[in-house]
Amino acid sequence: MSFANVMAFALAGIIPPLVLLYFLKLKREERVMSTTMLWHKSIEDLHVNAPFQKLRRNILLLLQLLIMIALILAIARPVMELTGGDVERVAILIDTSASMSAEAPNTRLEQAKKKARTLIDNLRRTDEAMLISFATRARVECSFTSRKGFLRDRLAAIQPTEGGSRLSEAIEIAQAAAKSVSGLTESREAGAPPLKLYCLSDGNCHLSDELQIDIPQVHFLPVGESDRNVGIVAMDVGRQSDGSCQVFGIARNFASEDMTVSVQFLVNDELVDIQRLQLSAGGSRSVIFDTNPLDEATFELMVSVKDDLASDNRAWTILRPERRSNVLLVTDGNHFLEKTLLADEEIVVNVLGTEAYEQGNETVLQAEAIVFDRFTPLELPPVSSLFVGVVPELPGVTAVAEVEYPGILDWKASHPVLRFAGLDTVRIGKAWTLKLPSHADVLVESDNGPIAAAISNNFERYIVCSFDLFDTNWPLRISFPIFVKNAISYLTDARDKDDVHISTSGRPVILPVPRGVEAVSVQGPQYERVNVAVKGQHVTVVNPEKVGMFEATWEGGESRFAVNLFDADESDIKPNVDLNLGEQAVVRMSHIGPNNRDIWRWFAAFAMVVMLIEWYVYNRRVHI
Amino acid sequence: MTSDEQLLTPEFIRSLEQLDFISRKIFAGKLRGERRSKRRGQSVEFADYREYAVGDDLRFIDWNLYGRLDRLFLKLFLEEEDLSVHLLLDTSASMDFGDPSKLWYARRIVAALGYISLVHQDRLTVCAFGPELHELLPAARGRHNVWRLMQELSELKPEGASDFNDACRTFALKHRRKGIVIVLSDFFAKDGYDDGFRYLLGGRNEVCAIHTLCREEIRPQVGGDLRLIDSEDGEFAEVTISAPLLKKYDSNLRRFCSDLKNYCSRRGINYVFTDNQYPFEQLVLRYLRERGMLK
Repeated sequence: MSFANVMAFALAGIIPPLVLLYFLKLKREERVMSTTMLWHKSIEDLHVNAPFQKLRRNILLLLQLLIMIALILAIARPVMELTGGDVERVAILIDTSASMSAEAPNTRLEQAKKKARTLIDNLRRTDEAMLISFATRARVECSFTSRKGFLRDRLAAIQPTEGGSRLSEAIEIAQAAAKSVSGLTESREAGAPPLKLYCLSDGNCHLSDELQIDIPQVHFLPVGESDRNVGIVAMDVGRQSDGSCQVFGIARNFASEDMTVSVQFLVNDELVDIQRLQLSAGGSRSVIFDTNPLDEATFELMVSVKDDLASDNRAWTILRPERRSNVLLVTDGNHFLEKTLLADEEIVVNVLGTEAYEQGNETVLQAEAIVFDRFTPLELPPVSSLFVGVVPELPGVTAVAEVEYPGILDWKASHPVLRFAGLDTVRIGKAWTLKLPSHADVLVESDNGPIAAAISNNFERYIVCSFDLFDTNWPLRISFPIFVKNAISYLTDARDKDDVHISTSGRPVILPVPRGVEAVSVQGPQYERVNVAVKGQHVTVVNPEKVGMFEATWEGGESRFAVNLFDADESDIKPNVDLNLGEQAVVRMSHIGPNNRDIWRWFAAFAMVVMLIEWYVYNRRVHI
Repeated sequence: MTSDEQLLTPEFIRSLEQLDFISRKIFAGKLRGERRSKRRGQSVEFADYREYAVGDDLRFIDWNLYGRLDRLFLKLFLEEEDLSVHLLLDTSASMDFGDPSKLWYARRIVAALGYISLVHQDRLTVCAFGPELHELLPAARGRHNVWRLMQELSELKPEGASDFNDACRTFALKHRRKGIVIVLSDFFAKDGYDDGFRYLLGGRNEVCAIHTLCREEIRPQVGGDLRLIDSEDGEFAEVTISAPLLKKYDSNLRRFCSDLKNYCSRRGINYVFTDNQYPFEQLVLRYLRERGMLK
C-alpha cells in the first residue's frame, strides 16, 4: 500500500494538541446543589482529572483519536497496489489536435484525459511518468516525476488546440527525456527502467518518415467514435480587373453518410449569400461567390451543419487594399532590366546609378526590393535583392570560377522564381560558378556547377545570377520577363504583400509591418494577447493553434489576419483504431481499468462509523 | 412557591378537624386534656379496681363491693390528660431546593399537624433548626394559637447548614416532657443522624421522621461537565455527568433512604418518606393515616 498524498501526514500534528486539551482542566459550569454528599459518594471524577488516569479511561478521547487518524489516512489517499513488478517509466502522450475537440461536450480530449488519469492512478509509488501533449507542436506538460498529484494537476490543465497532429515530435521528446539523467533517476541510471509509452489519440496523427522509435512498449489508447463532420478545406479569393472579388471554397463531407449542408457567405460579418450543397459520403463540392468591387474586406464561409467538429465549419479570408511595391534598380545602364521592370504595373520602379547609390539616397530606404545590376554594394542593405552579373558577399556564397559558354543542364522549374520560365533556349557566354550554403536553392545548374541561386538570409531573400545579361540571349527570350516578374514577387514576399491573406493553424504567420515598428501585439480568439518581436519588416506569429480572426496592433497601425484549419487530416475525424508506427509494435488498449485501488473511502467510512459511535457514547454518557 | 400563598386552605382545614394524633404510648400531661391517660385519675370512665391501702382517698372506695365481699377495694378511673406534640422543622439551606421547595412542603405539613394538635388541646411545640435550634411556638395549646403558628411558619427563611445532632441534643435538654416528636428534614447531615435520634429517643418520646426530598434530588436533571457546589457548606464536587454516574447516584440515594428507614424501624421511629411532588393533601389525609400517625 502506498500513499498518494504523503503531505497529509503533516496533519498528525493536530493529535498532540488534542491530547493536550484533554490534559487541561475542564472549565466546568457551576451548579449549586442541596448537598454534594451523595455525589461525593457516587463519583470518582475528582480522580479522573489526573492526566494519565483520564487518558486511560476516557473512551471519547480514544474514539476521537481514532477518528483523526482515520481521517488523516483518508486524506493521505492510501492506494492498494494490485500489481507488482519492476519500476516503470511511463510517457503519456495526449493528442490535443483539432480533431480531439470533436464529440463535444464529452470531447475526445476529455475522454483521453480520463484515460490518462486512470493511467496516473495506476502508477505505483516508485513509478515515474511524464506528460506530453502534442498537436502541431509537442509540449512537455510534466517531466518524469512520481508525484501523482502534480501529474493530475498538469493533466487537468491541458487545453485543446485547433492545429494538426504531429506525433513524431512527442515521441522524440519522450525518448530523449527517458534517456536523460534527471535528479530523480540519476542513482539508478545504470539500470534505468525501460520506457513505456502510452499514446492517447483518435489516431489521426502525422508521423515523420525519419522517426526512429526505440521504445520497448508502445500502447495506443484510441478515443472517439463518430465520423460525422463536414468542413471547409480550402478557400481563396481572386480580385477581378473591375475590383470585384470571386471567393472560392471547397466543402467536404468526411462522414460515411450523405449530407445536405448550406454554405453561408459573409462579408464583414454580414450575410451576403447562401448556397445549399448535397455532399455524398466522402465527397466534396466547391462554392463560388461573387462580390461587388471592394477595396478591403473580411470574407467568411460558414457551413451550417450539425456535426461533431466545429473548428472547420468556418473559414476566413482577408482582402487587403491593393498596394504597389517599391523596387529600386541600381544600374549604370541596363535597357533590358529597365524596360522589363517598368512594364510591370504592380510595382513602382526607381532607377539609381551606382554612384548615387553609394552616396546614399532616400529611395533606398523606401525600397522593398533592390535589383543590383553588375554592382555589389560594400554593405548589403537589409532589403531583399536580385543580383545580376555579380556575386555578392553573402554568407556562404562565393564565386568559384569564371566559365565560358556554360551549358544549362537543369533549372528548378518548381521554384517560384522560375515558374513558367523555361530556360532551354537560353545561351550564356560567360558566368561564374557558385559555391552555395546548404540552405540555398540552386535555380540554374550548368555543366560546371550552379550559376544562379536563391538564398534566404534571416528575413531577407536574395537571388544571385552570376552572369551578365549582356553575355546571354536571355533578355530576348520570353522567359526573361517572366523570371523578372517572379523574382520581384518572390523578393517582395508577394503573398504577404498581396491583397489576400490566408493562414492555416499551427503554422507560423509572417506579417509585414512598416519600417520602424519595434513592437507588435497580437491577439486572437481564445488566444491571449502576446507581444511579438519585430525582425526587419516582419513579425512572425509562432504557430497560432486557434482558428479565427487575429489582430496585430502596433503604434500607429494595425493589421488583421485569418487562421483557418484547412487540414483534411484533422477534419477527417473518423477515429483510427490502430496506430501505425511502422515496424514498431503497438499494443492497442481499448479499455484500461484501475490497477491500483484507492482505499481512502474505506478510511473515511471507518472514520464516519467511529464518529457515530463517539456521538452515541457522548449522548448516552456511557463513560466519564 | 412564595410565602404569600396560604399554607392551608379553608377546605383543607375543615378536613383536618376530623383528624387526631395517634400515640402508641399514653403520656402524662400537666393539664387535663381530651386524651385518656395511662394514669388513673378522676374522670368518669372506670378503669380498674385495687385493694385499699392506708392513706387512699375514702371517696373512691366501692362500698357495694365491700358489702358483698367484706373487703375494701378502690375504684380506679382513667385520667384524661393533654398530649405534647413537638414538631422539629429543618430550615437549612438544603431545604430551599425543589419546586415547590422542600421547606415550603414541610412547612405545610407542620402547619397541618400543628393545627390538628392545637384543635385537640394538645401541647404543641414547634422548633426550627438550622445552624441552631429556634423555638417558634413554645408549648402552645388551643385553637387560638393557630394564627400564631401560621405566622411563624410564614416567616421562616432557609439559611445555613443544619446540625441535626446538635439541634436534637438542645431540644432534648430543653424539653424533658415526653411526647410525640415529629422531625421534618431531608436528613442530609454529613455528621449522620444517629446521635440526634438517640437524644430524642432517650427522652422516651414517640419519634416520627418525615423524610422530605425534592424530585430534583431524586432524578437530577443535569448534564455535561459540572462543578457542583454544596448549598450548605460550599463544598464542591467536579463531575462529568454520565449514565453510570447518574445510575450510581440513584443507587446511593436509594441506599441512603433505605438506611434511614431501617434505622428508624430498628429504633421504633415511625418513618415516612415523601417528595415535593406528592400531593400534600393526600399525604396528610391518607398517607399519614395509613402510616399510623393520625386517625
